[in-house]
Amino acid sequence: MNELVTCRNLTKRYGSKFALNNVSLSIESGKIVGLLGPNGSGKTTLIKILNQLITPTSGEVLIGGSPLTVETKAKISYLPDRMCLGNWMHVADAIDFFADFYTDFDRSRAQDMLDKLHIRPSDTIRAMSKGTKEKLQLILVMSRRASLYCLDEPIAGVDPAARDYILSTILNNYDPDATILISTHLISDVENILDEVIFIREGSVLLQSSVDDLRIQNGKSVDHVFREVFKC
Amino acid sequence: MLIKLLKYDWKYSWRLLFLLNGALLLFSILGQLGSHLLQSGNYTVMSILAGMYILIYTLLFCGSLITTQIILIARYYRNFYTDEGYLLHTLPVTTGQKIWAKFINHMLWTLINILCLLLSILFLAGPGEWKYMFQLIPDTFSAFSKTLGIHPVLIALGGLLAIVLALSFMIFSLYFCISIGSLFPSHKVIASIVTYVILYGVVQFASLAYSIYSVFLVDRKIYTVNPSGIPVDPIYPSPAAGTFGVIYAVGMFLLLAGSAAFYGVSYYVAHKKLNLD
Amino acid sequence: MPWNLTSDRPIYAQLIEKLQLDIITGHYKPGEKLPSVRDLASEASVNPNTMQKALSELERSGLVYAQRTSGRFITDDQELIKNTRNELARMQIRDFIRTMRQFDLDDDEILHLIQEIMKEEIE
Repeated sequence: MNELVTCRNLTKRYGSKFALNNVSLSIESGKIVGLLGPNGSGKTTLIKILNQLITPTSGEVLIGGSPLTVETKAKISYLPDRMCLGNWMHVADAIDFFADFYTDFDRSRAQDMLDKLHIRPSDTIRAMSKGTKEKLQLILVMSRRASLYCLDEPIAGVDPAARDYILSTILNNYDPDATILISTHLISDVENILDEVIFIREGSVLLQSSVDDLRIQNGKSVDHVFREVFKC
Repeated sequence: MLIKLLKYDWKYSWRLLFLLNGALLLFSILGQLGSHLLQSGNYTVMSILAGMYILIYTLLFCGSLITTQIILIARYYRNFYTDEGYLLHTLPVTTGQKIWAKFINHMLWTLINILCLLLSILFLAGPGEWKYMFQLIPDTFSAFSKTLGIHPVLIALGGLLAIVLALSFMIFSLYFCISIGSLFPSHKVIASIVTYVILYGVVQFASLAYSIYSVFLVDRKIYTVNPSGIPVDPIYPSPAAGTFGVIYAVGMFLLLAGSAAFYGVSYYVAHKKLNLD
Repeated sequence: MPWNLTSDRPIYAQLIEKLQLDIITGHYKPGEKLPSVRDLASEASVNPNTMQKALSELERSGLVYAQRTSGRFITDDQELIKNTRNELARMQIRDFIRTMRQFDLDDDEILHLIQEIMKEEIE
């Protein structure tokens, strides 16, 4: 087990507001980690910094011991909290695109999952329901054999059955050497699959613990502990 | 990787641009065919039709030029600084590759557009005029060649270089404006437009200053004046040729330097100042 | 039997219990090959790491053994299985008796009720 993600004194400031305030944490490889916090707590900011979509104000980020470069982009598979594939694209276009740019993309695996959902290569993204679009993006992201998967709110805004599908897709495509970082505020749905949780509020990390430890220490579910810690 | 990016840039922009330029060409052919009708028929009706045609043709002509640029700039903005940036900026490609792919596609379609504009003029004029029009080219080149004392081929190459550098300057300046606009937390597009207006003003002023300076530089040497004050025939090659060379070289250098500066800023903003919503 | 996992206790502990139950009830026969960690984890909708932890624990207790290339198997040791069953049964009974005593029933009443219900359950 080695450190896959390392953050040291990471800060992101917008004017006077701190989206991330002096965050230091480390995540090992081979874990499924939940980044839990209310809306606006800095979860998405942290993930975007890992993916080089936002530049930090100060501090250091290392992926597998190396600073952020083009190589680290190849190691990370990112599922954003929004649709980023063009509306005019066909499913086949999206698959070709991923296959073209990512050498670790498993085309047959993606095709398999899409077939099971009856999503055809000729379907356009414009014509899909929101749930189907999200599943498509998830399938593309999870079909890559990456070292780090960053899933930003993968189950928000979808029905319970779709949530089950999404969670089982995540589990079924999980590589024991990889790390999956899931940011969400829907905790009870995901806590059974998490190894570790990180609680984050207003840009600061409140705690980082294994799920088992949290349950043993508190005799309660993570969801329950979260509600207590984040009581308004 | 650059080739791949280029492939996708082409794939997602060619259709609309093709239609735009194709429409212009078709319309000019239509005009050529229609011009034969001008002789027959009611004078008033024909005048009105001809007037309408010219109006629409001018709109298509200028429109294709402006629209081509707008489509390509919008692509840059959307891919780099909106939600589509989530896809582009997480690809394992360098910032340089991203910008160059956009630039090459942009340059390619700008050249295609210019070619279509010239072709549309040819089509509109009709085959009868082509012999005359094509003769203009070598005539112009030899005139330049005689005056400047440089081989026509060099003139052509020099002209080509000037066109490429001028277009590079223009394209990179657009990317520069978008990059500056993206630094603003809101109203990014408006900020880009304002930057463009300011930049345009500055560039116009600088070009004017440079032109005036060049004229002063050259003016002394074009005509040789007798002590009696009577101008004599021009001398070939003109004594101004050397100065012209300097003006040309400095101009090219300025375009190159400007392009590089605009590229540099665009690169810096995309690499170090990216803050996607 | 469905995997009824509650969220207030560590998952791996609950997985161990469920697997032990499967072994005792004969759902997994002695010597039978277990599904892979992945498949089990998928079935239970849990993290494969957690399932791995539970299985390692079962290996330690001897109920399960691993053969390097072929996977995991249930032990042939009938004695061990019987002992485990008895141990779990004792825990259940202990909890039961404690609860009954909280109801303020004395031991004779408890035994009497047990025999009554046993008769009913046969029908």
